[in-house]
Order: sequence, then C-alpha cells, then structure tokens
Amino acid sequence: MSDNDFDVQGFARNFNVLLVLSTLRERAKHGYQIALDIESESNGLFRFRHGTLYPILHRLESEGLIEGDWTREGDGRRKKEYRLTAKGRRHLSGETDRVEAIVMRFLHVIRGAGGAPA
Amino acid sequence: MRAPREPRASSALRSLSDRLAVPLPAKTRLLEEIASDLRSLSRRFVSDGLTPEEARRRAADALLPDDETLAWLDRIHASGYRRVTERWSAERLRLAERILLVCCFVALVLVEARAILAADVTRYASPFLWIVVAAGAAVATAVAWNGFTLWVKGEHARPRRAMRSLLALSAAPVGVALAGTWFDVFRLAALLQQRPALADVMVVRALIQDAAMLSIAILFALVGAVGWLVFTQWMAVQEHAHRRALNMDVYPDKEV
Repeated sequence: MSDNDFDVQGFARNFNVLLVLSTLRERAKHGYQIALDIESESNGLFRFRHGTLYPILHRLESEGLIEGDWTREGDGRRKKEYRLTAKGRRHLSGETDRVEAIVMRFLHVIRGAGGAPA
Repeated sequence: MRAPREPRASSALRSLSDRLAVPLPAKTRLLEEIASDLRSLSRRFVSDGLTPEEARRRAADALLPDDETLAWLDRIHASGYRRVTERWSAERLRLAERILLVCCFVALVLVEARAILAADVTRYASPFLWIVVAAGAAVATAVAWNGFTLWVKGEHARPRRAMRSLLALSAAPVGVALAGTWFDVFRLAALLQQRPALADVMVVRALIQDAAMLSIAILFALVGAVGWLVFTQWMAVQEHAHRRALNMDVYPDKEV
C-alpha cells in the first residue's frame, strides 16, 4: 500500500471481514455461531444486525477465503458450516499486519509526534 | 373434500423469499441457512436465560436481512450474465437478446442444411424437408434459449409456460413431416396413375425421401423432448427444495 491510496471507508468495511475470518481461525462454525462469538469476544462492541453477516460470508466464500459445508442435524435439517481456507488464512495474516501498521500510524498521528498522550 | 393443508411456513422466510431476487438454487440455500441459524440462535438465547419471545426477537434482529442487505446479497449472487449486462437499458438488453436468438436460429439452419447436403439426402428431397429443417432449428433454438434462461441468466420466473411451449414446438417437425409424407404419397399416386411404368423407380425414391424426412423430424422432436424433460425435472427439484425450505418450522413452539 502506498501512502496515498489509503481508503478509510474500505478500511472500515474490511473490519467485518477480518472479524469473521479471525473467528474461524480455530475451527469451523455455523453462521449464528460466528455472529455470537464475535459479539462475545468483543464484549458486545461488534454486533451483526439485519443479516449483514450473510453477504460477508457469501462474498468470502465466492472469493475462496472460506469454504461452506452442509451438514445434517438429527432431525434431517441441513446446516451450513464455514471453515477458513489456506487462502483465507494467508489473507487474514497479511491483513492483520496491515491493520496493525495503519492503527500504529494513526495512534502516532493523534497522539502527536512525541508519542505520549497528554 | 379436504382442504389443502396450510404449510407451516415461517412468515419471515416467506417474506424474505418474496423480496430476494437471486436465482432459485442460491435463494433456497440462503433460506435454509438463515432458517437453521435462526433456530439455533433462538435456542442459544433461551438457554442463556431469555424468554422465548425475546430470544426470537433478538435472533431475528441479528440474522434476518433488511432491504439494504438483501440488495447486497442480490449483487453477490447475481448471475455472470446479469453482472455483464446490468448497465444496459431494458430495451437495449431485449434487442440484444432477440438478435442473439435470431442469430442462433440462422446458425442452426445453416448447420443443419450443411449436414443434410453432405449426407446426400436432398437428391430426391421432399419440398417439406426444408420446412422440417426450419422447424427443427426452431426447436433446437428453443432448447438452447431455455437452457440459457435457466442456467446462464438465472431466471426462473415463468418456466412452466416456456416449458409447455417447448413441448408443443417439439411436435412441430414431426407434424410437418407427416403432412409432407401424406402430400408426397398423393403426389406419387397421381404421377403413377399417368405413368405406371415409373412405379419401380418412383416408389423407392419416395420411400427414401420420406424416410429421411421423418427421421430428421423425429431427431428434432427428440431433442426438444429431452430438453423439456431435463428442464422440467431440474425445475421440479429446485421448486421442491424451495418449498421445503419455506415450510421449515423455524420456531417450533414446544422447543423455543
């Protein structure tokens, strides 16, 4: 990323993607479990509302970052479970480093060149 | 007579299905996914101590897409054809599709004509053969168009009517070939009445020309019938899965 092409809105949108990918790091989960884990792990700071989780999951699936598998419950109903792919794992790792660098620079700017807040 | 049983469809899923414009297989999978998540999340909220009503409300608030999210889902699941043509006006798209349809028909007529000329069945051809060829091209075009509409455009809004038209059209080549054979027999009879000495040659020629014409007609009818069978079976499977997804009892009262 060059210093001139930073997109603030894109950066904010990417947050949800990273939250979803990071919650799938350990094991495969159903959609509701992903939403629930993100909410509980962030102490309620990040909450998915109005089904916004599904477009994110489906877009990540179409991009090959996650993979959806249908499983059958005891009563014959089907449930979809998502897991992180190798591509998704690489993406998450790269994006985490990028976000960390951006946040560090942001903090550096808002705290002033001296670094310490007043 | 017993009234048809009212399906136990969740009104939320039905409303979602009506508002969602994505192709049928993707729509069904999405409904199934949301229904199972709603059910699981409601159960989870109840086990966390919420009342069933509050659990349903919170699960619906989290998982049921609003109009903006539906539009987002619609864009994600749009067919490649729709993505390519989304900037075109409706008139321009209709014109382009009609031109494509005509080009497909003309190309098929040319391919068939070339195949028939190469097979040397035109030496004693019935004049009806070329009408059979045109009707056959129309059948093949209709099969290609229905496949394109279902699987490339991803449109399943009016499949039943299109399928009935395809089946009726498939009978056209056979109908034309039978009428042609009937006409050729009478023409041959009139000729032989005047010149009985030609009977040996002319009867064989007539048999060859009409057998060839009928064979070609039956081949096209089979193409149309197989196309109709594949499309209707595929639609039946998709519609059955969609109905099953809609009839899922998302919030069974006894459990949540």
